[in-house]
Amino acid sequence: MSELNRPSWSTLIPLASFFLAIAAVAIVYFSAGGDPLYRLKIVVGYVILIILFFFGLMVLIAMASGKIDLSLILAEAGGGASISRFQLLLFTIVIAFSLFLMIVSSNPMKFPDIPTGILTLLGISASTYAVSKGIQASNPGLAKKGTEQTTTTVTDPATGHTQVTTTSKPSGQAPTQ
Amino acid sequence: MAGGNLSSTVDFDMLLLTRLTFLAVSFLTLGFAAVVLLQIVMGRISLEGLLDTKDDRGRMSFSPARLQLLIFTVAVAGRYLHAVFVNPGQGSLPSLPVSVIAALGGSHAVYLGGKAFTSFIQPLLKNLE
Repeated sequence: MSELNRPSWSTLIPLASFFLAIAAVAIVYFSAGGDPLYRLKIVVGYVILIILFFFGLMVLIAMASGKIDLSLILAEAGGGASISRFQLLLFTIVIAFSLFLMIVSSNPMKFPDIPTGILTLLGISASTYAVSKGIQASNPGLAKKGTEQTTTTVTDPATGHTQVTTTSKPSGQAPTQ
Repeated sequence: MAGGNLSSTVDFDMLLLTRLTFLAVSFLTLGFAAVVLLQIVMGRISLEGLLDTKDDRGRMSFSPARLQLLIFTVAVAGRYLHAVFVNPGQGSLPSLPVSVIAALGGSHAVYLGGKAFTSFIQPLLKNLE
């Protein structure tokens, strides 16, 4: 099979999720007990679970492979890492994971109460990020020495296809690709 | 008897769906955190300059305000995760003491104050010289 015809994971995963969903519907229909409405509930539950899981898996694989670029997730304007972004990322992951852990640990499963202190924590973190961004925007000279990015747009006159290339270089050096 | 068997089958179906949902969401949540952490360790997400700031002469220098904010952030996050793991079955997320929130607010105020000073006050003082 040539490179062009070889199916990529972005094609295989949706196909796999579709066939799994069909299989789940068939299995649940023939094996699950209870009235038809209950079986419908179970079938819908499995189909939603399979579709959402494989969608999430596609996004996760794209992040891991670099197709979704996360390299600038902590970057400030002008380069360098932002402490406020780092803090917001850390608190978001911690609280999301804590929330999930508490939901599945409760019996029966229910959404836990969120104390005001946690909302205040996230509010302070997000506000600091926003104010920090505002200070930087009002004073471009504050941009740290670090990686500078140059975006080049090239349009092919024959096809009209536009290609955007972003190059990075440390300040004061020639760009590398 | 038949009713009992039907009831146990129904409970099993729901339980299986619940368990699979838990596994799926756990995998995706931990996967996202792992991808971000791995990329930080590998250097694809750069932490260069995390503790640096620019002075009025444009030179990069170490920032104590950023260091204290980092230490405070890691300490609060670690303490919070510990509180959740110790008792995950409680009815609400663990609350933070008011003193911790006040300290966090103070930490942020110091960080933003330093940033605003470097951005607005220092250039003004430089112009007055």
